[in-house]
Amino acid sequence: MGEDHILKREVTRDGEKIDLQPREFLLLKHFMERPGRVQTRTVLLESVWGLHFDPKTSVVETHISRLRNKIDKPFDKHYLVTLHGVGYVLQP
Amino acid sequence: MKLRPLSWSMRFALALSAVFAIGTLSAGGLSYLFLSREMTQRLEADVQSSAESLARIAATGDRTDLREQIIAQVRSSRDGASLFAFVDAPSMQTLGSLQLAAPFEGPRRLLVGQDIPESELTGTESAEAYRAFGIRTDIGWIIVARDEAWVAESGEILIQTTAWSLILATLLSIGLALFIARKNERRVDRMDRVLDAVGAGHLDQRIKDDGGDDLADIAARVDQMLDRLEAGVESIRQVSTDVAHDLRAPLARLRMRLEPQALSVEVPMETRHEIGSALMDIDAISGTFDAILRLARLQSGTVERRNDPVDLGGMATTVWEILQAPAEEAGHALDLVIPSTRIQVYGDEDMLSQALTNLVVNAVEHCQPPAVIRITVGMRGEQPFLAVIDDGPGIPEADRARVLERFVRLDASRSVPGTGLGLSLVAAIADLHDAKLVLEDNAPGLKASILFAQATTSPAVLTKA
Repeated sequence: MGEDHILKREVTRDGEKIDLQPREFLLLKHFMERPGRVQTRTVLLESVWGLHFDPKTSVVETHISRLRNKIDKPFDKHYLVTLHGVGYVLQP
Repeated sequence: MKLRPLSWSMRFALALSAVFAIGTLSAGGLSYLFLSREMTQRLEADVQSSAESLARIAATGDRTDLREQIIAQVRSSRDGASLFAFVDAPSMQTLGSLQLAAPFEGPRRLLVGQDIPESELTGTESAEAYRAFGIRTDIGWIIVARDEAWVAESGEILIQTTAWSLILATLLSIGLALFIARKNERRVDRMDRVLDAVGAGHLDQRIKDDGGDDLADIAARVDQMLDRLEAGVESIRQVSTDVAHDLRAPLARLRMRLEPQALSVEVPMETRHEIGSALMDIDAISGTFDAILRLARLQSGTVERRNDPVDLGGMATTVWEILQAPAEEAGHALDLVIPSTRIQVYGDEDMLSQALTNLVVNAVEHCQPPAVIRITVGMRGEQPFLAVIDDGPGIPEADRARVLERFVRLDASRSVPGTGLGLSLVAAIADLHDAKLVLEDNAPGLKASILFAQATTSPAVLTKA
């Protein structure tokens, strides 16, 4: 994984600049601060969206899939992994 | 008061007044008949006895005494109410105040202007007819007549008295009947309102009628039934809350035992996937239980509600931003329409966000894509509102009160995943904010609004700086 310029909100991978929406950026930031640790849906909702309740809708799933399309799909190695029924993890 | 066909009590009141009036009228009519007959009889007896007493003088043969008696009687009856005549037998000369074409015997009714020339009368204007009695004695005929005017006058007095008492009594009875009817109508209205409210889900409403009559008895029994209904509903609510509470702990343990297996690299991939699916089912069950418990706490009022100023527009914008992606993913367009002025209420922003989220998620799930779903904030008169409007299938009017109850899911939406608690939760949150969840037809679609009551939440409408 490339470097992450938090202040400038810039993301690059293998030197390629990646455009992220604000929530996608927050989501990626949350994962990068916890490499290799499984993050549940509830934790992500609280940390990234500030929701203290389950909106019973695919907020997390949608953003994970959009984020994955940008940071993983164009590349060979996939870092952001879904652990079915448990949560998500950004592999180190 | 509601406009309705004439109520039973009003009808009863009017019928009673009518019966009373008819009764008074027939009683008056009958007494008039009896009275005038009795008076006429007495009049007849009077003239007869008067004629007989003069006849006794005539029987003595003393014409001078008879003449004096008649003159005295005529003099004492100047007003012409009584008339006297003595027709001398051989000469056919008449003495007294009554001139007749021919003398007669026995009772007779004499008409003024026909049997008695009007010019003969001295002063009586009202008399139309006289009752007379004639007796034949050895020396001539003695005839005494008395006018009927006082019979008619007595009748008139009776008719007037009856008429006045009829008018007074009818007015009084109608007034009293209307008073009683209005009172009963108000009581029936109250029952109506309470039953309407209960039908709309407010099970704590009671009629509480202490009128002490049969209506009050019915009201008391309805109240008893409502007590039982409320207790029944409460116990169902309690049971579901207890079940949710008791099963949460074993569910959590189950999850804790399965999760390491889902993550273990030693477990084959396929098994891990299966365990993951099981975990998702467990999460769905826990989610429902959490919603039941949360709803129970909201409804019982044991949950602490913050009372901060909440900018409805800002809050709606946040919810809109979060839910836009999932709405788009489902194939819908999610709009936001907020006013340029700041609309503020006092409340719990977290709870209100959840309520608004639930309404949007409901629309997302129940509308066939592509639907246009709109979040709006505004003022309805003095009342601030938060609303979610869609152009989906809507909710039939008959079901709108029902869908607010817990676990109620309409047949049309059985295929959509959900707990049947979403709207109950929104209604409970609205309740805690002295607001109302209002479901309306958007033709087509549904308009779900949370309408705040200005009086109690005192929203401040401030112009944005």
